[in-house]
Amino acid sequence: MASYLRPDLLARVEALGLKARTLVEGLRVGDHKSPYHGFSVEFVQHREYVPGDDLRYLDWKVYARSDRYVLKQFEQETNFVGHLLLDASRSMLYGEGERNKLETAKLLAATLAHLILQQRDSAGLYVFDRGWRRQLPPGSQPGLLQEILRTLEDTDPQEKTSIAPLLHELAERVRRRGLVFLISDLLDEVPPLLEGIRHLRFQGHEVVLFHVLHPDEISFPFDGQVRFEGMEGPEILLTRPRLIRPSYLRNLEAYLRELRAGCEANRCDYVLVDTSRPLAETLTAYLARRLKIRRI
Amino acid sequence: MAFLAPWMLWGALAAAVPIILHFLFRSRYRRLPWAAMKFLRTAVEQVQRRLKFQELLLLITRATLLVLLAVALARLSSAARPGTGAGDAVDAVLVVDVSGSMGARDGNATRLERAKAAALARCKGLCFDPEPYGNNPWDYPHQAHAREKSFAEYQAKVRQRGAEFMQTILAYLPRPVIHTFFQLSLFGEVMEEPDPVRREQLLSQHGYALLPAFLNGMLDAAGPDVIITDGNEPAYYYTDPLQYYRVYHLIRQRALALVAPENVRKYQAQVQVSQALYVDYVFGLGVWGERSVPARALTAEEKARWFEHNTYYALQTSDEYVWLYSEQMDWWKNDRLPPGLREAVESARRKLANREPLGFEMADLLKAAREKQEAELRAKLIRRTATIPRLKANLKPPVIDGQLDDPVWQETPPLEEFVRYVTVPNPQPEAPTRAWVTYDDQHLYLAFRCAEPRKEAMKVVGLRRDDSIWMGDSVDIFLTQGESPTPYVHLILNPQNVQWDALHTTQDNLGFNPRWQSATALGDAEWTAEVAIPWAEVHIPPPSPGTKLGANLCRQRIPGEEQSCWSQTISGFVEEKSFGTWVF
Repeated sequence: MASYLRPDLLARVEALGLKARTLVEGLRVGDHKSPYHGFSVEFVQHREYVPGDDLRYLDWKVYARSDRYVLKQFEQETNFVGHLLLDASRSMLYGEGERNKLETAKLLAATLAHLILQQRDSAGLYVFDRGWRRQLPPGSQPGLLQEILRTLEDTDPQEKTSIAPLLHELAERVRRRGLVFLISDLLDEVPPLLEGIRHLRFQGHEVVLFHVLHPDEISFPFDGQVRFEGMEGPEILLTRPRLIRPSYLRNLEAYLRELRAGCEANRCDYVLVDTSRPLAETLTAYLARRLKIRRI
Repeated sequence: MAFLAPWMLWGALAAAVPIILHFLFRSRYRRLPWAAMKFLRTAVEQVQRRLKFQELLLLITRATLLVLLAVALARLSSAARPGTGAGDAVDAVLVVDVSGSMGARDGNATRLERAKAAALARCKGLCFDPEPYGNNPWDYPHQAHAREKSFAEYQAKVRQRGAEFMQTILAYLPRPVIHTFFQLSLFGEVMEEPDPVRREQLLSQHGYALLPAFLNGMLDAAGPDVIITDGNEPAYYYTDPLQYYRVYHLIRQRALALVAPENVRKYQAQVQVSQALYVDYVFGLGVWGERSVPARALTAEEKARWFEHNTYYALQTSDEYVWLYSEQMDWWKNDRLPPGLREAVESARRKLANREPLGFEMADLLKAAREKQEAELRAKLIRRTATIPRLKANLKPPVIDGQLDDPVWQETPPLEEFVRYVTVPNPQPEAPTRAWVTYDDQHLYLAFRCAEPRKEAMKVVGLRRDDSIWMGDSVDIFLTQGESPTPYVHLILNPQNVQWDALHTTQDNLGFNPRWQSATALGDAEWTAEVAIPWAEVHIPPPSPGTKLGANLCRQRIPGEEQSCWSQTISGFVEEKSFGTWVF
């Protein structure tokens, strides 16, 4: 693994890891509850206490009845699997610096991976464009986070997107219920995408859609004469953005509406990630909302 | 000299424009790799459809370099010093239009670029010529959806487009003078109708039916600093002060009948009367030197006096601007001025400034000149009469396939060879044209054989029926419905077998669409056409022996810029007075 030893790469990984940590730390404090309890907290079963277990989860009622120290075990502790699906198609390359969609998506994936692994659950990483490009099977072994970070760092988009078939394939392959995080700009046909999500939901997975968009794509703030060159195809459009802006925004709005309604119908969480907003803010808001819905 | 200086100034200003346009139109764009092509593509498609109409309007503006020069009448009467020609009383409005040659088809860029170019060149505004040189966007019955959408619906849409057009201009020119070649001045007959319902009906049949709606849209979006002129282009040909006064009244007062009530105040305050002068016509320059125009019968001095006459009354009846059109003068270098033009303008301005009358009339002189001209030319015309043989009982009607191999064409003697206009020095065409005509009780049959030694230079215009096929290579058929010259049927056919048809009564009716059969074929050094016209379709009873109908057959040939007719005409095809006679 020569690349692992590349100092600049290491520095980047380190930086990304650190950023992810900062974010997670940030999520712990504040008004809302810690996301450590966050993802799926259905009570499943009891198990014997072993030294080192968190006393918070001791079931005192059982102790009163039977003198046994038993822990309430929640589903999350049965080691749920978080599948991180990262879109690494060429369209994700849009944007400069920190606002780059792929950078934001990578940071998000790293943060979620950190979050999941921190709570001793399994995380898997799937990098895709029109096919699976890199797959790290779910696990919770030490060092997996580093592996994930390195994989993220190595990811370099080349192809265009085609999400739906991959979702179907994943739904068929992964039988064990888990949590699927789809991180993508979703510049794909909506109906097949929703079909894929429905398939995953049908298999019992919970699906969260992180829709990564650049502010330029959201507000289309261009002026003058612009030659738009398709990032995922040979298409070229020379136009005056100012003239078509209203129409563009209408189309975008219709697409977002369709997407949101589809998510709603499939009971899948939809989170719009605007790359110009701090990721911590977006993620915090989402997790807070999630806690509210699922726990209370 | 005092008058010359500002001309030089305009030349300098105008010369800057093409350079700026050149830079602007030369791919000045930013490249941007873009992910969300999906929405963009749809948006562009939607907007393109929407803007198509406006694009069309821009396309139709003249390709000729056009410089509008304006003479500020208001300041002329107050500030100008009499006798000096007062250069400070002259405003350059602007404008150069180069749409055709600038590849204006390139989507939605041009309209803005043009407004921007005008802004950059510090022009006062821009010129808008509503005259279509191709498809007519104003003509309601010929709109693509005229069957489903009512005239009112079309008007509403066009009004919206007018507003968008204005908004675009305002984006770059906050206080524009928008000079239009004509507006409501065109609708005199419509305005005369007192009943609003009848008026709308009349308007909907007008060739420029949708133009008032466009103007109303422009007014909707116009801020208080916008000036729109009605350029009254027909003033080119005026010969009498009364014509100027009448049209002034028409634009200022009667036109209000076509202005939306909420725009009446705006129209009164911001739409100005502007009169047109046509240098080439008055001085007989360019093509006007070859046509039957008064100028041909006038001395140099008389032409200059006519120009002074028209300048005087144009200035007197314009709110602010008088404009000049010329294709022959060199506006950049300010040379090739017709002799006497400068003096004529100076004199007219001086007389107005001093509140003197012009001191002479032109109408009678011009009328006499015109009549003399026409009489001379008419006397020289080769008028034709032909006996049209009936299809023999033993012959089959020709198969309309464009091939002239049918026996009937072998047996029918051809009409005389076509000749060029009488105004052309040599009436013998370079490429001869022959035609054959026969008939039976159902149809009139015609065949054309058009020799064409330069096939590669042929130009075929138009794809669908009633497109402007007369702008390219084509043959024309004129046939009166009875013994009098009007009404008559006018059919045109191009080498690609695209038809055009109209019925000329007192007015031209392009909505006349009889069903007639035609076919064309391209040969080695010629093109041929076959036509079968059902008598019933053109409302002519099948002729009995001895019936006489006025007729002419003409051909336009682009390679040699050659027009020729079977019965010679003076300087055009649509000359019912020059029709020949067919005796059946």
